[in-house]
Amino acid sequence: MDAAVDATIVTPGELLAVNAAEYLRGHGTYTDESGRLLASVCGVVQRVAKLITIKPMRSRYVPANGDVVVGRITEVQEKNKTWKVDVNGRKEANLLLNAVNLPCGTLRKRDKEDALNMRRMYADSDVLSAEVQEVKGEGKAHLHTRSTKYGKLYNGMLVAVQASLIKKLPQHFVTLEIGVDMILGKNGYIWISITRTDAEKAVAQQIQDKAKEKDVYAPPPYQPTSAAQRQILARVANSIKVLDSAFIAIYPTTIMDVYRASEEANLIPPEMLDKKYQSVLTSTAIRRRGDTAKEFKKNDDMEDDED
Amino acid sequence: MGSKQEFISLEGLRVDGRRPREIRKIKFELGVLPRADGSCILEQGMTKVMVAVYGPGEVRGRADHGSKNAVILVNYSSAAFSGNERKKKLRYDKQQAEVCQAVKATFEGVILTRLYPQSQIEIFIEVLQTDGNAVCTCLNGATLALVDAGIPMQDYLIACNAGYIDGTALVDTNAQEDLAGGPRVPVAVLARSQKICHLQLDHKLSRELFDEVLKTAMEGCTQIFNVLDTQIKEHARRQLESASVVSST
Repeated sequence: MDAAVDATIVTPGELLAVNAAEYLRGHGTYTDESGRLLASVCGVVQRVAKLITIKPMRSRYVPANGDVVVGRITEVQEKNKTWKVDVNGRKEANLLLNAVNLPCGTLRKRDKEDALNMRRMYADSDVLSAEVQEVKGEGKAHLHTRSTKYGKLYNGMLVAVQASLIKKLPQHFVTLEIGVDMILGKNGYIWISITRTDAEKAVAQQIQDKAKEKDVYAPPPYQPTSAAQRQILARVANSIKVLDSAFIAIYPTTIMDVYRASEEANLIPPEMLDKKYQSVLTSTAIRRRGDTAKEFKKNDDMEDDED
Repeated sequence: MGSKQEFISLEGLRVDGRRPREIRKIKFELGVLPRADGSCILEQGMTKVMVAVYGPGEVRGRADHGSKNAVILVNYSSAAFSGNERKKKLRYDKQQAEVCQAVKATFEGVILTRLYPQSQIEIFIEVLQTDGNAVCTCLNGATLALVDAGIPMQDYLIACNAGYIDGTALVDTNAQEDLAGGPRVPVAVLARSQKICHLQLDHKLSRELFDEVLKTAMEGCTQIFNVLDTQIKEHARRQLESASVVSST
């Protein structure tokens, strides 16, 4: 077929256009020696005027400016004053010492002592939320946590899914009505924790402030999570995993769809992951397909082409 | 010993009931390992392999830093229970090293490595069950896993072999036919352009016979490609419909 039609499925090596020069080559395509335009991945064709792009079924997270991400520290490089962060991308992201807020909000130039204290701020395998500040060549993201809403994450659970299922949302920090706080990292890492009451938060803040008088890097106190609360967290986590294996877009509405369906079906969280319940659990979420296309089209039009 | 084994019956059927130019039944599943970027379990007849692909990702080895193309690492292993008898794990397995090298060299020419400088793509192949022609199934499995991972390639890399027994070229030999001791030519091609990426011959073969056997093997590749492509497109359609990227018509 010449000039692949928008929304057809193609596989690697499939002919898209006989003369590649007539088109703008997007991701997922390549030109061969005889000047033909061919697909290099298996996916769906996206045509916008002369631009042909193939969107693959699966790919690692491709960072874009302004994305809210959840990451895990893989390396602390005191010499370079950088943390290396795993953000589910092709490259590890960098979090520079200059891009984080010093404890107690002081504003000053980072000195040698700050570099030596890096591990007290974020150590290996700590989980944090951050925003992508800049993307340097070949997908290396530079993160920053210059806001009180970003930083190290405690007392919760990390769920890893395919990045392509999380689209740009109006809010990435959400609270579900069942009392669960969620950070939907655009990179496919989701952090869930129990919503604490204002009273609990005040008490925790008091304890932490007291501890900070002795050590500025004092972490917030451990907050116990009851068995019932952990059941709720497990159910949310598994709802997300069900959406991931069924390849359905992940956002608060679909997560609650699966959550409610699992309660109606009287399933305990471990049972939810069994393939035989997949269609029962996802039936409501799948019906929202039309809604998501419209809902996300608004956001897609606003954001730059991140591929 | 018993009477001479008949590999082609009077009706023209092989030991497993196939015709000489008929490939074995193909069954596969993509995305079987959720933590891998791409994975598959592929069965061709009774030969079964599982392949996992990780990448493109950070290069781990110091020596590979600063390379202009992505580095491809291959790990091949055949399970102790895969053959007729339980296999002992050797410290240095020549066959293992050969297969790793063959897969690596072949895919370096197929994957568009220039797109990912200073990155690595790691392929893990595990043979779960071997009934002949495991290397070709491994190559096909690697193609499927790479497609699942969304790693750009020039084309499908399809592998198939053909043997020559009792005056007939047989495509996609099984273990019994392999034991007959006749010549065997495994070949791997880029599906649409038919460019040969890998070719092996361990026996003496006359020029004309070689041409016939090679042609048979390449026709087998085309048959395998048709089966895989159709099923992969169907799999992709179902997945992308789910994620509301394509409409369900």
